Amino acid sequence: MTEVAFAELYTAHYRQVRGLCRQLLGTTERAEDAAQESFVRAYRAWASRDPAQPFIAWIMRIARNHCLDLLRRRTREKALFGDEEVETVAAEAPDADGLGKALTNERAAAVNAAVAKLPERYRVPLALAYFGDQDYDEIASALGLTRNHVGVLLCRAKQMLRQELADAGERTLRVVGGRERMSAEEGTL
Amino acid sequence: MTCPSEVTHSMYADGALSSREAMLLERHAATCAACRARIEALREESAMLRTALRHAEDLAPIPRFVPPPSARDFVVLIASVVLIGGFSRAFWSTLAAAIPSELKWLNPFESGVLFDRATEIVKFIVFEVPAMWTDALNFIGAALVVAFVAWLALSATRRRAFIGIAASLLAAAIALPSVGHALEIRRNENGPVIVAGDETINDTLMAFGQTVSIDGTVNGDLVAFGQEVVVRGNVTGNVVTGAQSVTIEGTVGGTVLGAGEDVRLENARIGRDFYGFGNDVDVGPGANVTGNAAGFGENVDLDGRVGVDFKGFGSRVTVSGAVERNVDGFGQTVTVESTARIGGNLTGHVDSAGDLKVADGAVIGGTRSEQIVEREQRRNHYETFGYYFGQVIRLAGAFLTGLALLWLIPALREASLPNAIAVLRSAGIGLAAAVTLPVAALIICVTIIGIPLAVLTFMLGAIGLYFSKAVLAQIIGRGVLRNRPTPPHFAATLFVGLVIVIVAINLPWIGGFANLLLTLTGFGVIVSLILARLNSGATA
Repeated sequence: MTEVAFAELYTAHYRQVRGLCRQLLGTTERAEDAAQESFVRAYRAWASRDPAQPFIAWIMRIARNHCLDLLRRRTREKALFGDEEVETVAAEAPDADGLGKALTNERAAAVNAAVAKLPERYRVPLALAYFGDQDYDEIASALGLTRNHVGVLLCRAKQMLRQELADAGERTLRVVGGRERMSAEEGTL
Repeated sequence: MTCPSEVTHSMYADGALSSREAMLLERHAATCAACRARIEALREESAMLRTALRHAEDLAPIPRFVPPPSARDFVVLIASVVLIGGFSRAFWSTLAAAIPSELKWLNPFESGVLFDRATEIVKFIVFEVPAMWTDALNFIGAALVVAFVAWLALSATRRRAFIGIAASLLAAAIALPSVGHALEIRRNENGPVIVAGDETINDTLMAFGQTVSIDGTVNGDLVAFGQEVVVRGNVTGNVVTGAQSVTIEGTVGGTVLGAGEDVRLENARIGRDFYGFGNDVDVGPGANVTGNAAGFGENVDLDGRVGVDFKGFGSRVTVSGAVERNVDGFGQTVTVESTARIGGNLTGHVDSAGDLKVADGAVIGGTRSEQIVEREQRRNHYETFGYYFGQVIRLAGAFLTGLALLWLIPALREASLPNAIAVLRSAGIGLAAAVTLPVAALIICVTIIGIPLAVLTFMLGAIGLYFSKAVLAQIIGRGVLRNRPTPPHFAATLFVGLVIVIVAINLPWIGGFANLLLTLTGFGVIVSLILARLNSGATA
């Protein structure tokens, strides 16, 4: 594994790794450090990697574990993800109807800003599920929670996002019919 | 059946329900339009989230990949250390040559007579003990140490402690003699440590005892400390020893470094050099030093033979033996007896003319000269007009330089030290920065691109150290003039402060210390200011 070859992998996947780190850690600055560190760890551990596994899956797992370590170092795990029952009650509280059926591309920045405002306990599973594309079982084992607890946290996370987006820009929120419509709008932007 | 919970909907939309739960939900949804709509909305929401979260990442630039430090980096680091080390030597000497003498007092390395003497001696020891530590070895050794410190810092930032540990172990293995198999330690605090005449030690020997007698053979170095140390046997390496009384009668293959009240060589054969520190330092009649010999003490006597140069520092320096090359005597009196044979030049660095006494019959191959150490003049310099004139010129020079500095960097005018704690803290910061700045520069040096930056850091540090007294003077001046009804102009405060600083560093005895303290405190103020700037810049 030469430095040049690794640098190519780095260039190809850096954004995705940094994205996960940013979603997990909340700030761009910390995300850049964490992404660099993840690649450095991958570089060092290259020999021990399973060649059958795609690089992206491997590096994303390294990044996820590194970010979770960083978060845990700051907060005790129990406090980080709260109590399942309390969260379940909160998740069943009535809320605004849907995070819009969809949001247009131009609202992506607003969504990202809203995600960054989420408390860690909601932001972390959200990032793993919707940025890291991990299923509930993977998230549960990474965070040391039950699958149901993950479901509750994600549900709460989305409720809070809807609320935040509604507060931030109800008037600019355009509820559109579906993904087809969204893609069409992307084309016109 | 009532509608399932929001959480169940959400999990179903993400495909996270067990098959049984999913089946139950589907059965319900088949009959409930509200739930179908809700599930559809949640699916779209998940898809939207996936798109939205990725969106921001496509635009941000990708920084360069910085691979973890490698062996190559370390080589670069050492090369940089050597480069910067050489550069700093050149820098200081050039700076010293380029700056008019009126401004030289700003230089923190310029100080009093006592200090000069001390540095002279240290320089002599450091640079002229070639057998044990040559200059080059010293430099490379120091470079290695500094490079490893930098390396450790580097590894620490990568949060890989074990690499740091491995590196430091390696450093210890390379830098230190292999302790395990080449060192024998003997200690007896209440009695003698004896190496008998028929005994041979094939290691470096470290001996600590009330008395240490070496009658046998040591095939290695000897390090001996005690009340009395006597070497009658044979040491093939170097001898480093400290005792009330040190006597060497045997044969030493390397260099002898002896310190004590009495340090004497009797009939000794020294393969390389001899350095003796003590009240009485005596190279006895039968002693033969192949290399150089130097004695530092109240009385320094040379009766034996020295193969190269001899230097004696003491109240009384007496030469009655043979020196193949030059003799330098530093003392109140330097006496050369009639039996003396000097192959090269004889120089007496004495207090007044006539203190170098050469008896009839002494043979001097080269020239003979007396250099009068201007001790008397130094002692009375507070009474001369020239001294005060010089100080006025210095004050003017420093004032103009300081004025330019404060004009260029207005932030320095506002620097303050409100209380004693702040003064101490600044002095501490100054000391820490003066020590760590070169290391920081080296760390920057790791990349080739970083080298100019490192040189810049280094130069800024040097300049900061240089101007630190002016900055402190400004603070002192402001403190003195703070009760004025209108805030005084910075020129006035600078002037008042400079007067105080110049008086302080010219005080007899404590001037040198005041100089150091003022320099470090001022440097600390500058460093704190820069740090505060950087911090506010980062949070803004």
